[in-house]
Amino acid sequence: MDFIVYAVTAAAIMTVLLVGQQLLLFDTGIFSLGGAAFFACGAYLSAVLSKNAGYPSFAAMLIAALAVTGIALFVGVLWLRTLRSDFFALATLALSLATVVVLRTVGPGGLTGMAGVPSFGTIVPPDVVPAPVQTMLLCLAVAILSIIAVQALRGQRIGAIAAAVRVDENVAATLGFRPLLVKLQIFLFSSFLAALAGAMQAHLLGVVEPRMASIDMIVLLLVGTILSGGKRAWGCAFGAMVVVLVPEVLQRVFVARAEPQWRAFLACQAAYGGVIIVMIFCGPWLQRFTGVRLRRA
Amino acid sequence: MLEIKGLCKRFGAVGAVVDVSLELLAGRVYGLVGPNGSGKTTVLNLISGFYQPDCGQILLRNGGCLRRIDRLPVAARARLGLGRMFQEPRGIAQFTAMENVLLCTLPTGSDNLLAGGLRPFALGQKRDRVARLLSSGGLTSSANCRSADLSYGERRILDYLCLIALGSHLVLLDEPFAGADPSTRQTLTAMIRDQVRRGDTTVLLVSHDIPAVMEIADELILMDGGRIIMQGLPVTVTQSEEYKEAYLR
Repeated sequence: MDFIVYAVTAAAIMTVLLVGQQLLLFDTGIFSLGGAAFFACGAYLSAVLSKNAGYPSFAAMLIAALAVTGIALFVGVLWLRTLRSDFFALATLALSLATVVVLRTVGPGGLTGMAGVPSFGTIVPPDVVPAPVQTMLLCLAVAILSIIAVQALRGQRIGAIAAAVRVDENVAATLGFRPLLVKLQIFLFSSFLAALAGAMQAHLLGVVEPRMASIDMIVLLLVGTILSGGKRAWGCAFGAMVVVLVPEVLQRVFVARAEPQWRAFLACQAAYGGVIIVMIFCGPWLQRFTGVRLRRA
Repeated sequence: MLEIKGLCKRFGAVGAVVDVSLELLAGRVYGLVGPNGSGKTTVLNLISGFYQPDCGQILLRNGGCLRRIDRLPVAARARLGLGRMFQEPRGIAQFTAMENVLLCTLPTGSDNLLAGGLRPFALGQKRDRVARLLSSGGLTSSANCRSADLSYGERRILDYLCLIALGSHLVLLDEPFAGADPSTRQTLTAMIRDQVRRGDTTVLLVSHDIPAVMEIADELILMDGGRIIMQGLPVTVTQSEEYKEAYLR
């Protein structure tokens, strides 16, 4: 029971992160690997605000998410203007990897990160509804809200214009739409969601670690975004369940068989690879059964 | 409508456009002709803002006053009433014809989340206007087809409809007739004529299809080697020595 509550909470948080990434990649066509960096920054900032500065958890999460959006504004103005598709991906990859290094060397807690981050806190007394269940419900609410928000955004003018910018930036500009502005706004929104998810994760686990921005996290984000299908925001819930459950279940299986942890890690990476290959080759069949469609680039 | 003074643009050692000066008057159709590599498309790209000129000025008349536009980004020029049609159909492929036209009727600021980007992307009160535009191009029956599924000719017409929907005063057309069958060409010509006759729209069109240009243009501008060689009535230009020389050399 505890495991189910934890898994649902973790998947809900991952969903918040993935809807932003899905919007960025599939609607605006921006290939960014910086989601992990904003995720980790949000987590660290919220952890420091609540643990060291004494802010209540909810306030810390919101402030952290907004502050990281400010960082994203700087990054976006600097790089979206000057770097084209693959170069933007490389630059944001560097951003994520640099974040790991910075957090390891000067971040609170150094190499191992910081423990003892306050938990979410409770809204109703814990003896009425247990605290983990309250956290789960709250995370689910945020996830559903972000799914609805992103899905609604697609039907608005900005969604249509983003599609135009993705297909052909030059044509969109000749229609009077500012490609940079459109891309920047979506980038900021997705960064806000990433930072918010990071902050939620920090308060759920009680720990923040430099590897929250590592290459493993980047891979996990990519796999989740691909699995989301790209067309509907609720596809992210599916992607999130896979990327959260696969490592958890594999770890349990390997621990039960007394195998070393690195084997579980390798198996997990192999599983991700397998899932992507299945998605690419069986896309049309999966589409028929699930309604989730893989969009060709 | 548009004034160009001493415009030049180099690509490495090649002077693509050399000291071009032009004045386009409102309500006229200009045909820009010349052999391949004579700098016609470069001039269009300089006017619409895809290239920055190395020297010279571009001034656009907007609401009575002449405004310098050669340092403005593409989108800002578009909002000042500069429309551009590309050499190949560029409508948004996965949008329907109707959605493509609707996209062009969105008011300024729709690309801003805080200014109007969060209003629904739906026909609403624009239903009649969009329907009228589509029927003027003969696209009523394919209004709900994805633009990718339309024929080449229909996509060309759709691109032109988008310019009308935008309300552009100055329309730059790059090879509008290339690859179009006679009936598409006729429709396009009629639409261009109609738009020019109704308002103060100015058209600058680049084409190799001399008979089509002769039919529609009030004036021809002949370019060769990045310079304007000649400007005048279509008949005068096409019968001149300079014209033959430019195309035979």
